[in-house]
Amino acid sequence: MEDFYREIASLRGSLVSELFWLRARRLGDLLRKANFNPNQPRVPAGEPDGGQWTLVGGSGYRPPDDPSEPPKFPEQEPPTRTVNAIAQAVARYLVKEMPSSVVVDIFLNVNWLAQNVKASIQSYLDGPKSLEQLQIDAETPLPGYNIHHIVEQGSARIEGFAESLIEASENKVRIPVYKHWQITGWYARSNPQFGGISPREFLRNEPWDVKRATGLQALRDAGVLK
Amino acid sequence: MTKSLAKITTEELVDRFVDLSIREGIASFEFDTRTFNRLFARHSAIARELRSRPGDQRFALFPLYKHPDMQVRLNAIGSTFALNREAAERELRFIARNAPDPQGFDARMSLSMLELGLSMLPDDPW
Repeated sequence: MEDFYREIASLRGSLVSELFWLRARRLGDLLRKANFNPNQPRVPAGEPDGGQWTLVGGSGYRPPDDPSEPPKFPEQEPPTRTVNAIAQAVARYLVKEMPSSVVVDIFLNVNWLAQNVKASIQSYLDGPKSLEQLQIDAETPLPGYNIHHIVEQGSARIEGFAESLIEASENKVRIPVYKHWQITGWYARSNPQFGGISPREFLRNEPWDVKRATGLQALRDAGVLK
Repeated sequence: MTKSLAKITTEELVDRFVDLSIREGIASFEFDTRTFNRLFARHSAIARELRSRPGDQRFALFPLYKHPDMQVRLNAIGSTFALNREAAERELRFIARNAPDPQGFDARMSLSMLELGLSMLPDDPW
């Protein structure tokens, strides 16, 4: 049965890879049609002349508010934080638009993007999987993915939960890097839902079951878990 | 020296709320939690100041439910949820379905926390 799942995973990986490049081709076509100028900064949405992206102090990158709009980015490699922001914008555009023709020239022309974060963009395109599959995947680390603890490991250790529970296969899933960052970011950010403290603080001292239910919900809402 | 919030007009407070929220959205997108939380504290202070004014002037944030920036919408909803629950939930559902992440994800999690009974928003935690 395990071999079967691995074969399915492998086939799926190949399919996703092909789909990624199909979408990339379409992105290139659209950017050319839009007279793409990678060095043109844009002003924030909400301004009278609101556009798609701009540099906002430091290395800040503002993605398109509308994910159906092709993201724009510089030809020269920006700082790492900006690379990841741009890669996310590209990934979510590809997810949203499902482009259909075949060329990779946009990524070949902007090869710093392909070289640095191709695996992370590809993994972002994964559809939701069953919990069982995500847990099986966790046994095989892959570029573009992180091993994610459903109940956050740091908080669980501080609260004295057993290592056997924290590191159990039931508590670990392999998910796309940017989805992992998105979920851990949600746990860390101040949140009006919890009176201004972070979900991580709010869940402190809650029972394991409540933490796990929240963790599973985060995976569902991130589009990782069916 | 920063002007005390109490001395600022409601209109100007709303403008500041928008500016801080837009910057929060960028910080969130970049996974810059420290900056996000610093800005969050500042927009929360504005919400509390508006609440303390006669008649609870947070109603001035209602129009922001339709602001083009999704983080502005989320922050306006989070600051006024108990005052305007029906419209706030409707807008959260819109953001959850239509906004790109991270704001789309945050909206979905907000709805989930409401359904799980973990959210404090109905009790107006401000």
